[in-house]
Amino acid sequence: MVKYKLDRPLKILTVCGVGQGSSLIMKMFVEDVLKELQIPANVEHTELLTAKSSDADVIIASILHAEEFEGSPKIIIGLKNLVDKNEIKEKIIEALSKRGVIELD
Amino acid sequence: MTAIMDILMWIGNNILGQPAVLLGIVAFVGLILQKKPFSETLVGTVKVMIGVVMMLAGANLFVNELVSFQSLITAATGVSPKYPPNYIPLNDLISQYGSYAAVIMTVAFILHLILVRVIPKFRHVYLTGHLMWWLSLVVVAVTLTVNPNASARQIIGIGAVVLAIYWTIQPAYIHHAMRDITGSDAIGYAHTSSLVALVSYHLGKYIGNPEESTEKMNLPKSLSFLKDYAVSTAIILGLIMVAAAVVGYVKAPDTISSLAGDLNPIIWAILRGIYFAAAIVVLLTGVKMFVGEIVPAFKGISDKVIPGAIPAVDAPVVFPYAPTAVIVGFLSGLGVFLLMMGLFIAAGFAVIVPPMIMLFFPGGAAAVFGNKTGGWKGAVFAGALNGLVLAIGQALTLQFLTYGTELATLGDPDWYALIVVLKGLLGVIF
Repeated sequence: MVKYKLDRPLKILTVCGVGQGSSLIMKMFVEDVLKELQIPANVEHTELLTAKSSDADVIIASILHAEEFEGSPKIIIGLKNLVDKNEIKEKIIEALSKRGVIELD
Repeated sequence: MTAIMDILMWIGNNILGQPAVLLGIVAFVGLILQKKPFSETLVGTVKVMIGVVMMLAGANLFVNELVSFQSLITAATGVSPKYPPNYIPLNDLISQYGSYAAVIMTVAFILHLILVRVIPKFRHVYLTGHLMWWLSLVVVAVTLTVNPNASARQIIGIGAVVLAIYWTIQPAYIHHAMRDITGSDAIGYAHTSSLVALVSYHLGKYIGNPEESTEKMNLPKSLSFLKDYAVSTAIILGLIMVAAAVVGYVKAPDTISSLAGDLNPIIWAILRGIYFAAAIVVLLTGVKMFVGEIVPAFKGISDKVIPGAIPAVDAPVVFPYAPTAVIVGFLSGLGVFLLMMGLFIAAGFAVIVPPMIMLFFPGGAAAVFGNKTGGWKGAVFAGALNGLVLAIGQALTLQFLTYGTELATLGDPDWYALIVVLKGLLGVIF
């Protein structure tokens, strides 16, 4: 299991082109994974247009859109398979532990 | 008896007649079923109601901007869009009949779950919420177009059955292609581009070579702005309107001046492109707000009723498997659409407006399917086919859909197929 280091819930945005379909689908799968990892988080879904100006800690998008966030100080996670919980879990653990948001036991 | 009638009338006016109230109730029940805490349930329900009102405001803006666009093209070319006589605009359709669509969406989803639960051949659960909403509205519009006196029971019954069948079979008939693209059975495809995607997948091998994949191409990075639908809408529509304003000003300066009012016609045309994009952003943000609360409830129910069902999701799920193909398909579709727009105007046949979202998502997704079997040529073909279907679909639908006529400009390929088939079937029934 992982140990969560922040004193507030993590703010996560799932992002797709129009913010209608696939970002919502990713949100539901990401929420399931976070629940399993016991990482407290608020997950919202949105589109590219507004994602860049948001104050979220983490952006999760398809690899197609992840490159749009290059150079952003946020934690960016690009997914190949938007509904594969294993991929989502691996990439979240990797990205968050790299930034010290979680610690692996 | 009169007391009962009064109660029914009251429910009809205050609940069934108000899409914001009805969708609020659907979301409220969904959140309760998910056992969400009271605060989340309250927030979610209010968000849905705000979303519905935003959608209405967005539809209003959109209808107005569409008229500006079409009037300008008419002023420049002399060709006018042929709306059906006495048509009901989209904003009125949503405010008057939006609750019918909300009931259809809910009932059709339950019927869909039953079909998937009962027939072993079907394993996919359709989760693309915004399309469930739009299609529900489309079937209401078609039913009313065929029979303006259709009863509530008829509209809801027809809509729910038709959509339950469509949501059940669509992910199934395209799944062999999905399996080929994603390499697994874990994801289904639930999008109203399915027919163009399927045709492109099967014709790809006659058109090109999968070895010559789009993913070996290098597209300029500067094209990446195209992925942002609001920006591409503002730019492409703005350019067309500036061109039309210039041509129109040469031909009929008075007409253009009266459209532009106090503003310089070019500045006015640029602003209309921006307003058009903003109208779509408001419309879709509204839809996003209520769909975002309802779909998780639908998924929650489906997880309980059909454990192990395959989630069938929105088109971008295939984009990571060939990101370059997406841009290729969008560009070839846009090219064909603009060409058809010019041809239709030259022939005096129709004024169509480029639907950037529908050129990008269905065109891009179809191109991923076309690229899989036909490489870059398959991708170009897929986008072009999408552009062709959207152009013809919009031109024809705008001329006969009496209710929510502007839906013609928001349609994906399957919408037009559904509209034509349903109209034909209902013509026989009514």
